[in-house]
Amino acid sequence: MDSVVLAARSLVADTLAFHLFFVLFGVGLPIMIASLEGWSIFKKSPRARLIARSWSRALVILFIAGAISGTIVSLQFNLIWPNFTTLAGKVVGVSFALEGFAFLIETLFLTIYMLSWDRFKPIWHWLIGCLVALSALTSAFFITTVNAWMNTPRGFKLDAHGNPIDINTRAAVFSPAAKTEITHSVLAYLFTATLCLLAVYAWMLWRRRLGPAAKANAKRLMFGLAAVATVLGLAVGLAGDQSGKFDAKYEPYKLAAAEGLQNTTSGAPLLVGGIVQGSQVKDAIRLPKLLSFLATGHFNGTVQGINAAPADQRPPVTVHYFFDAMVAIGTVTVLIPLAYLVARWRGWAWSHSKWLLGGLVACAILGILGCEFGWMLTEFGRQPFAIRGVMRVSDAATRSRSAIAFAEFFPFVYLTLFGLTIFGLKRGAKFQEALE
Amino acid sequence: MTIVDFSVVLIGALFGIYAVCASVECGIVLKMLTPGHASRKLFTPLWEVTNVFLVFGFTAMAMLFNGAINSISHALTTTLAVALVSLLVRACVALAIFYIWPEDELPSWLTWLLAATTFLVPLSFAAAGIYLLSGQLFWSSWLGWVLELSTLLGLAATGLLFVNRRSGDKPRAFGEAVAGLWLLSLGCVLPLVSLHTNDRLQHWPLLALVISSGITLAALLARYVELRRLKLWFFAALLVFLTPILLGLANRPDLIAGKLSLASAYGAQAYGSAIVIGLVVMLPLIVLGGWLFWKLFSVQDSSKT
Repeated sequence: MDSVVLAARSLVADTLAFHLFFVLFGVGLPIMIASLEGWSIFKKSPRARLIARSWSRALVILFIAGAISGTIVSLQFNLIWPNFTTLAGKVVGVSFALEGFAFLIETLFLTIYMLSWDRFKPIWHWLIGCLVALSALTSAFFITTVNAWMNTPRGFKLDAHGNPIDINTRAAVFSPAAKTEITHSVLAYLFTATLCLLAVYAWMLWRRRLGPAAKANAKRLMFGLAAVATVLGLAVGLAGDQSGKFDAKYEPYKLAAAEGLQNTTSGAPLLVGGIVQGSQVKDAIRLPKLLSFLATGHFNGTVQGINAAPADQRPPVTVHYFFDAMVAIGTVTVLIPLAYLVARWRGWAWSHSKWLLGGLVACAILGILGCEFGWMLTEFGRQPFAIRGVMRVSDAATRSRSAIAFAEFFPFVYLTLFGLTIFGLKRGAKFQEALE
Repeated sequence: MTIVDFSVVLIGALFGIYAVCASVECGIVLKMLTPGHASRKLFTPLWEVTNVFLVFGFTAMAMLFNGAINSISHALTTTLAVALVSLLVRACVALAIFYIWPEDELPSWLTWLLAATTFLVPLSFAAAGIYLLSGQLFWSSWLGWVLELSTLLGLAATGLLFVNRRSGDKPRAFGEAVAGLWLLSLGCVLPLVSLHTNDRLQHWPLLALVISSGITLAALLARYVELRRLKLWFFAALLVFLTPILLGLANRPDLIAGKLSLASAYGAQAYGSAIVIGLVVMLPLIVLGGWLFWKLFSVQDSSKT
């Protein structure tokens, strides 16, 4: 591949991988904070309000890095992917614009929210928090419609010169992939944010530095968070199942690559694990007919194989790793909070053992990785296209060689910013103070 | 006014709001650099709202003048890379200053780095604007350097006037001197820009900018004739806001001087409807938010956040 295209790809991949970490908190945390603050008003619980305030401090620290990476994503799309933006701007420019408006409202009202904890009545403050959560959701909704459109482009035709004509904005924004992709990703963000909050308190208990009152508060909070995480995790699984069925119908080659399915098959097996060699998955555990069932709802349903695609339009079978990792992580991160819930409910002694608390902490890291793998599956599964069937990645990228220098330099700064954010969270969020 | 002219005004206004916010940030970091004012309470990372307008301006440019993206990407990737790197480094420094380093042990180099990166972001976007106006990268002509210097003075002057007003101080000599230099430079450089571009630029927007600079300079001098109720910061901010709009209008009918016309770059079917929807649905919220933001920030004590 052309070195400039490769540099452009790695640059945007670095930026988006980094940005996604903050996106999931940017979408998930405001909802959790607004919910807890609403609970504090409903139950007249000052403790819940204090905890919501500590979460909001964490949100601001995460927001600093997230807003910067979001700004950079926006500028990079124009600078590094000019041909993509030229076409996408004409067809789904509305989504870019409305995402911008929603982000502006989120930023403004988050500032107001943080400055007015002691200045507004709790109910007004909570309403502002709801507005932050709503605008975060709106922002995620519109930007995901762009990604959905890249997967299933609709609402335009191309003239002889490659310019879009007969643009139908509504059809483009609400493309077939929008519903499943938005549901799956937003639920996953919310799930992961909940897992991370749960991990914070599990970590505190693990370190055994809490006083008796704080410990009791942490345990109560963890029970609630584990219950929310379990429900959300199951919802993510259901949304994932819908995504799989959607892929079978609209993006069959992505599903075929994810499962290493060579030929169109009835009663296709699900491959778990294994090693990708070329376009084959070797040494995998084969679960007979399960892929057909998951993709079509019938054990003998027909699933399209990767060989049905022209040779130069096949996504890499390495996406099998991402798919397996995402599903495995999704399963583990539901089971561990569920185990914690059951252990607490039954009063088993090991409910706060180091193993289970460590498992809950690990769930947060796994949850973040799961989101990253899901995003990688979407992006690599669309290869070699930037806009499926319309524009190849190699045609979308810039020809400017400065992209190479960018690509070499940026990861180091991202790593620094990531490290500082984690360190800043440790110092600035004051989770423990809210419990005491 | 045609739809294309309206689009130029809209993009100019978005960059104008960004420039005002950026100049405020510049003023605050300049104050942090002065002895006895190193307190991080002067600043707050919640000011990240500035970057939203940067994204807005750039996205509006890319969407409304869709045909220009390739030319801009080809010519300005390096120039704008400075802004991207500065944004990232500034975020690192802001996190270190506000959440990690103990305030009484804050090293001065960290504040200097914050100041440098805070200035570099708007300066690199100004460099992109100079490219649109002259068709040349700013470092390739003396006029580019002069315009960058003028931008630097404008950011510093408006920022210093803001922090003086915010702290309730009377305008101080340094801030006034910088403002005076900036206004003089604007008044002198703009006719030179016109000459340098072979009188291609529209006269009335340039004239409006020169007259606005003159009025602001008069307002600055008015302090000495006891017109103390004039709020110099508002004049300066208004001028900063108007500059991108008027320069954009002066550059018509070109988007990139001598290289690309506005008409051939325009392609805004989708974005046009987004603007209408956005304005109708979200503007009241944005106005309300902006008003509350301003009210709260004016009495803000960042230690309470």
